[in-house]
Amino acid sequence: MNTAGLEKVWRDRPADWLQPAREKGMADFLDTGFPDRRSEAWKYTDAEPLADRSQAYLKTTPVALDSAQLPTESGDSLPILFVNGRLAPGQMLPAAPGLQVASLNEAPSERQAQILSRLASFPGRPREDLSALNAAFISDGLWIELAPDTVLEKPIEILFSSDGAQAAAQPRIIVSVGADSQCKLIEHYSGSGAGLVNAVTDIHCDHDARLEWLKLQLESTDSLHVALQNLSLGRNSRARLVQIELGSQLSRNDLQANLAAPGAHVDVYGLFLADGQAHMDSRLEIQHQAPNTTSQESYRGIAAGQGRGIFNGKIIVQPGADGTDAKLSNRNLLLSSTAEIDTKPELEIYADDVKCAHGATTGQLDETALFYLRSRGVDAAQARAMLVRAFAADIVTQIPLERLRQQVETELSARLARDMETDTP
Amino acid sequence: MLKVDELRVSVGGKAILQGLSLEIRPGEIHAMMGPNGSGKSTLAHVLAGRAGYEVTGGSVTYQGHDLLAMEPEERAWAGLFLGFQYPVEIPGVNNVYLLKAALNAGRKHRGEPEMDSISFLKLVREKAALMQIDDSFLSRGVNEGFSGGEKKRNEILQMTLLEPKLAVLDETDSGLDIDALKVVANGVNSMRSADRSFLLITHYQRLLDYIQPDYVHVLAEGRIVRTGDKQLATQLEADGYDGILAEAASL
Repeated sequence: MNTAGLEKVWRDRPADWLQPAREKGMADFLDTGFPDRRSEAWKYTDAEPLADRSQAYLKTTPVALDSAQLPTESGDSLPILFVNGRLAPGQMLPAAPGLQVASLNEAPSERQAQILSRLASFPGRPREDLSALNAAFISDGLWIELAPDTVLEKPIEILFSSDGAQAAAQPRIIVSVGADSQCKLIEHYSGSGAGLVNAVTDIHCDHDARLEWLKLQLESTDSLHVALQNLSLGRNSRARLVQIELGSQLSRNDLQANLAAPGAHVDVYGLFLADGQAHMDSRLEIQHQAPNTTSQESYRGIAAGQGRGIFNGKIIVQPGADGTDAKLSNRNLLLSSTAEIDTKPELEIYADDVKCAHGATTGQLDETALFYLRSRGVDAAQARAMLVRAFAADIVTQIPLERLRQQVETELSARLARDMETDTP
Repeated sequence: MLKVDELRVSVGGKAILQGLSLEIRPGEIHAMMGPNGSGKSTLAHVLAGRAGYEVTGGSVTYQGHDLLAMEPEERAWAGLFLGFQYPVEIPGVNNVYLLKAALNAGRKHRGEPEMDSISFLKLVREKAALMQIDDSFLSRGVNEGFSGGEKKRNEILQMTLLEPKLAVLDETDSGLDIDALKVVANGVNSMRSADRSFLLITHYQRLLDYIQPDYVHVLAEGRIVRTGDKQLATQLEADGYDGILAEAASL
């Protein structure tokens, strides 16, 4: 794929303090270009629409409109609004004891070395993800640091909104959760129009930290969404991750979780809905790098209409990571004869004395349950939607905030009602 | 109410019902008895509209309509209820939610106003108390983790709430201890009225000690071979199906 155009666009940009990270990103990106299907990681997903839109949109630096409606603190979260990948003008950053938040575009000079060092050591994989391109073209982002022994009650809710402009948002979020600290982080993507998001979020948890991390992707059906979530867990730290992917015509999410020290634990709950023409590609890679680390992954996929879903979950147990206990389960539901789901759970084990289990199923709605509901007077479309919502409920109920749980339920209900009317199995 | 005329039904090419005729008038309770494999459950499923049954002959008329042409939910809206022999567990679909959706779907199709949540909850608690179902069961998934007896009581709870015109109860008595059987029978008896009919499908005479049928039919090899009153059930209990079938064959 031709990357010369992008290179010129990149060279013409004015330099800023992020330049060292941008240079490394651009060099890594030019090494490999956009991924193609020869790469196992892109076997089912064609990156060409991402390449086309990147080349078209990255020519202009995205602008966050002044007219953006700033979120008011709704009481249940600390909201931060980004529009088209840039911090909304006038957006105040949350302040709390032990909490430091800075925007990347206006990072205080004393923070810059620290941020550049995190960017330099970011474990991206140019052949598999678009994190190098993100580094080259970072549109804005956040540095969030929680000091040791800090408990942040309210979640930080980062709202990534697209306003319909042909913008390439390339946000980068860098989070450090200090030892014995607790916090909740929400990435909430939504918007209108045919935008492009290439997001990278990198979270480090120090020893004994607690993290709840929700990613909610409700982008418009014309948008393209690529995200890389990187999580590194220190000794005895615990994280619970919920991923809800409902939007975009092409969505690709990579999660890399590294259980880097003994006693670290992660729970991952995920759900995607690929309906209409949507293409949802979800990847998890859970690295057990240290002894006595534990993980549990539960991922559900739903495909309707001409939707296409891909799940690829890999658990890797590194040499020496004895006492690892990992369970990966993936269940999928096909709602039409034209929908498709490909699933590939994998285990790579290089240690003895480990407990690992993985399983994947793909099926259709239970006809007996469907008949039972209809025999009670629930019409066929509504009965089908009820059963699909029930299938999703195990994941949706994991959403840590009532308001967002309701929002997801409402969105799912509306979408399924539409899907059930157009799909006759 | 219901007229089944020379009904023939096959499952996977195998003839199960072979010319079954039955008429149920408003207010009547009919018991359909028969040995395993005689076609009792097939009749119940065909009446409720379950897929997978091929009607090869005959007709079923319900309140003047061709029942076999109706979708399962249309049959429910028209007042037909099937109590399942094996009620289905549906985790993730809340029991009360289903009851409310079912009740309001029927009301909507009859042109009646939908019931609001407060009136509905009051009603469902009353009916649950009658069936000795604990309130905590209402907020669980449909039949999720219910014992056999709890599932059957839940079926009758649904029936008392939906107030059908014709209730077909498929072996609702099977797997019940005597106390649960009485609760179920009370539920049915409390629903008896001049314009409501019941078809009780059962293997054993036991249920009929608590619910007085107007007619008892014996089904064998897909046809009704004997029809009588409650005495027939008593005779069945004494002689077994073999005796009755031998007697029918000799006629």
